[in-house]
Amino acid sequence: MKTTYHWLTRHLPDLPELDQVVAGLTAMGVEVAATESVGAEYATVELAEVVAEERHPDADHLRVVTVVRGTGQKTRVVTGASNGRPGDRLWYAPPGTQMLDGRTLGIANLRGVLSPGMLLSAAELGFSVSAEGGGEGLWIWHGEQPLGTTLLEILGGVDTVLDLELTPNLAAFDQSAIGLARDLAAYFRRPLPTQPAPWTFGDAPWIGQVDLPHAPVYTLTGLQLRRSMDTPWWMQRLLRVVGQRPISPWVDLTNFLLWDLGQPLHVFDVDRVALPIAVRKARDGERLTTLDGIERTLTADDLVIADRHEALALAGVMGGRATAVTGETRRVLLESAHFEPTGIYRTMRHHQIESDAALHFGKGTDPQAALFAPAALVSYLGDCGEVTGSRMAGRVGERRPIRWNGDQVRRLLGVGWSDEEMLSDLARLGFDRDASNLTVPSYRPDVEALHDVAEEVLRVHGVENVPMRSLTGPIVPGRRTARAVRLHALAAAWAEVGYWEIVTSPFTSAEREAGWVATESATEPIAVQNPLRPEDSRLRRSLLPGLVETIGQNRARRDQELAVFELAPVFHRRGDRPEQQYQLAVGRTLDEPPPRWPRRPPATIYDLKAALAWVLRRVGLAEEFTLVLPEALPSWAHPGRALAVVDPHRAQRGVLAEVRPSLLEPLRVKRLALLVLDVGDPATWALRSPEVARPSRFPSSYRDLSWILPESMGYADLVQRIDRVLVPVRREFDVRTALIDRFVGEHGVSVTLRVTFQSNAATLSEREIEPVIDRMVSQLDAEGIRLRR
Amino acid sequence: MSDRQGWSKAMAEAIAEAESSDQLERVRLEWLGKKGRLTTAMRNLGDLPSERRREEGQRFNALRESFETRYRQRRQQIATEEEDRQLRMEVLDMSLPGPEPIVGRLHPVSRVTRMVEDVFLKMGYTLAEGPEVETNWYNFEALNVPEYHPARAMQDSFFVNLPGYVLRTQTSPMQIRAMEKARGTLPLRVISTGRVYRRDEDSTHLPMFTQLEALVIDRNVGLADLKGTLLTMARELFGPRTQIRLRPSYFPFTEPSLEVDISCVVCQGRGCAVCQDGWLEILGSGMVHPTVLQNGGYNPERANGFALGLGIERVAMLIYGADDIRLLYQNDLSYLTTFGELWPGAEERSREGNSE
Ligand SMILES: [Zn+2]
Repeated sequence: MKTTYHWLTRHLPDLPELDQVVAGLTAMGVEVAATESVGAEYATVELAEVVAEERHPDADHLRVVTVVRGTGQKTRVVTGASNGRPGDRLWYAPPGTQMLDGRTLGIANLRGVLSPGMLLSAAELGFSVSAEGGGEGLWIWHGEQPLGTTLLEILGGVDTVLDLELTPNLAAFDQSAIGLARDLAAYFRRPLPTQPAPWTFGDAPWIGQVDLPHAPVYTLTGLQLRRSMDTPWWMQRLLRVVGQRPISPWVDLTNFLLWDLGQPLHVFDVDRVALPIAVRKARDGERLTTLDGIERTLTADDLVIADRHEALALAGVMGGRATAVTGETRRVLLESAHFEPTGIYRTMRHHQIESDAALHFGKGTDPQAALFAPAALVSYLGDCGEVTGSRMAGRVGERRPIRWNGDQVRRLLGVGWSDEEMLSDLARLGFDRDASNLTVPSYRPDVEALHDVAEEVLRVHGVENVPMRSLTGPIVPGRRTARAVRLHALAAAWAEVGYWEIVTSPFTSAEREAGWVATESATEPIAVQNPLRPEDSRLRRSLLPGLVETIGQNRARRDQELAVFELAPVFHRRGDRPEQQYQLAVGRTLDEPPPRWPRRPPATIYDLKAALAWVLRRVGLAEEFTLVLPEALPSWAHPGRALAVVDPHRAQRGVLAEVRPSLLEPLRVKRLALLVLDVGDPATWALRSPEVARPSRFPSSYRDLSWILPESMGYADLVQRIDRVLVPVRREFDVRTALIDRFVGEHGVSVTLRVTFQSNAATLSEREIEPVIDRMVSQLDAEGIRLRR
Repeated sequence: MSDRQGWSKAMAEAIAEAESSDQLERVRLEWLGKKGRLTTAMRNLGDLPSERRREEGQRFNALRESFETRYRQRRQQIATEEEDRQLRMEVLDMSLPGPEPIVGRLHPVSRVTRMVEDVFLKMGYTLAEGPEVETNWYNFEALNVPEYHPARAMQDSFFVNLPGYVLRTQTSPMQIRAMEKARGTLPLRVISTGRVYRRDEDSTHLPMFTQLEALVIDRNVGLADLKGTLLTMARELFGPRTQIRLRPSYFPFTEPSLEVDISCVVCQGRGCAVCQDGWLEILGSGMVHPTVLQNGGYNPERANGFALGLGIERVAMLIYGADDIRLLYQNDLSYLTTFGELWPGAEERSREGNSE
């Protein structure tokens, strides 16, 4: 909300300097988002009197008016207005005046007549006046001030607008000048502002049935204007600087009191109402066109103000168009009420009407204000207004007192403040204490229990006065969950092998998932009902779309090799419940890296495969997840370059594959390897640490052997058979095989292995090695694998 | 024997004059080869009478040792010269760059999350977890946010097509889950980190961000303990000179509630473009609301607690001095790769180290 320094001084005279006020508000929990000085534009606008007028020699619709100014100087000004005759006092803005619309006045040449500055209408100065004051024409001033008086002097000088951020609890009591003034009074240790005396309501038969649980206080006051009036200038100016446009006295006065006393008021055009008024729940399907011109269909949750025939207004939220007042309306019914906040808030949300009234009632208001606000309004009408009757239904309920317990407050705050100190803090805010009970002022609907009271003590006493204390008791360093530790280990291992972690949003859409999430076997997605964008309308079931998009976006910006991964939850719908599971997705571009010296060959799918194997070994998952030839493949996978990741039960948990090039066209990537793996619940992984082998002290020996594979066999078939031969040998000493070359020659696929022998006990000699190789050669030969000589 | 008087000098000169390994080898053969002058002379010693033989033998041995010493020194010299000659032909343009090492790293937010977790683990907090698609009960009602309450509007939520569920708007549901799990035991010290979702997006907000929640419940916990904890945390994260400022605020699940500012890490609180007034808003905290304690199975008459919620991205931005929070999740590798090692409060610390 906005208020001004001057406005606050209406409730708290002798207000300290602005920066102290800002500090005080901040300390009380009100965030001052900005301050802005206003009114300088009125510093040069001065009162002048018309002494002569003549027609403009060359324009029918213009006049040349001579005014005498405070200095006695006479100035000739051209005006298009038809009013402002000799003897009238007007507002004259000399050259250099900055206008509300931003332009700066100069000396204008109007059809050959020089016109320094302007004579102004009220609207040009941001005011609204009745016909008597000139209406739309020049503003005719009826005050007694001497010529030369500036408008700024009339308005009381330059003011400062305070732009405040109020949290919902503060909105229940600080959303008005008087509320803020009460907090500042407590902070600056001044007496609390006085509030108007309650209105004494009469017995006009205007109110019928009232839903008291939802409208505990409901009053109507009949008012009429004896003659047209202007909203007081100071009030118009305050309203304008806090962002309210002055419209007409009825609207301005109720607006002002809303922001002044925090009490929303409403006026009905009495001539359009069929009395008596009822306050009731709407009938389901009942219709009402609200002030904003929208026809609304109501439900039984909505509270309405109705006359004998129909709903006139959404209670506490917005009036109806049919009974709205206009600038000409003289006779009105002023409604001042207290509504139960939750119902108002619900109606506001349901109909999406964030009116200032609803934003007050819905957050909680002072029920007493419903009783004194009409008195305040009547006082501003002065002798223009007349009360034609009034009536009140309901009553202001008694507040349940709160049992004071100083020890509990001290314990909660961790302070040693005495009862006397704390109770005097509370008294500053208007809390009364009798014996052991605290009576909460009616304007603090938010305070319900002792912990609320503790917060008030804290606000007044100052958070900075609470001591710093360290938690006592033995401190045992805390632990992470197994799940968190394992997820981190897995992610860290991917980083170690040169992959960058990305974090993408979990929002996606059917279109974005298409092609990356299998449709037939996939589970139901969880839909987001209010996405920010249509492409974010569901929760991801796979990390692949986000990963692939990230790769594409990076490639769109620059040609680069990319190796990225994400380890994050994916979401599925299981019946009526959500299911969250961790998934790993890894991507590696395989196309030619951008030219760079020294040249590096492009990566291959084997790079990703080797990285996966390394990571799984490193983390201890080599037995939890193994790579096998796939039985079924996702549609994105290259059918000839894919492996499945299976768990110990042989269930497929993931896929490692190249992507079909056709899917990559939009990505500016020619070749891409992906891994997607449902890692399950890390807490249940059976981890196996890699064995730590003691290195041998004896030298190893090796033999390089080239084998020619029959067409039906792959590398794994060769290794499997060699391992079979080596089973008995490995009991004696260590034998390892490593692939050192592979090519396709005229005889078929040739694979060269380096077989390394090493013993913990001795240096191995030909005598031990040769028989092993002979056995290998003869057994493999029997299976069609020939040794290339 | 007279020419042998000049042998010592002749040998020394021949060795010194050898310019290459080959030449030096020839000198060695000339003197010590099978038919070398010295070898031959020594072989012929046998013809001499025993008295002379011993005398001459000692002289020859001395000559031979002297030759060998000079020879070794010269050989070493020549080897170095030859290697130098060879190496001068292998000159590289050392101003050329090398290939970039192949490295990967965790996302900066992951790293900062872990760092902040570590600060709390050290203080005796244990990590707890909760789901991202959360029930309305845990995310709102249990936290003292009834359905038609203005506090709900403080966090615009994403709704899902599962009745009673919402994308969690905060890590605070963990408070209730952790309390339920602890079944009323004291003390309780837990943290939880994770992604949360709010339906707003502008230059300072993302629809997804990462929060750390901390909760303490014990018999005699007061706001003073919260204050002490906040200061410790701030100094661990931002350096030992960091100051904190607390302002009353409002969160439905705490009362009293406090907004916490730290002295600006950029200007050390003097005031700059980042902070305006020397303070940076960093987190929200407060004493756990009695209703929340009750909903978690604790009796507010017997136990108090405090809770705090910290935005990890904000901490990351401050520690790294980055200024646009949106870039964090655009996953532009050229951005992610610029984040260096985490040195929380490094500048402060090194300054203190120097002054000591
Ligand atoms: Zn700063």
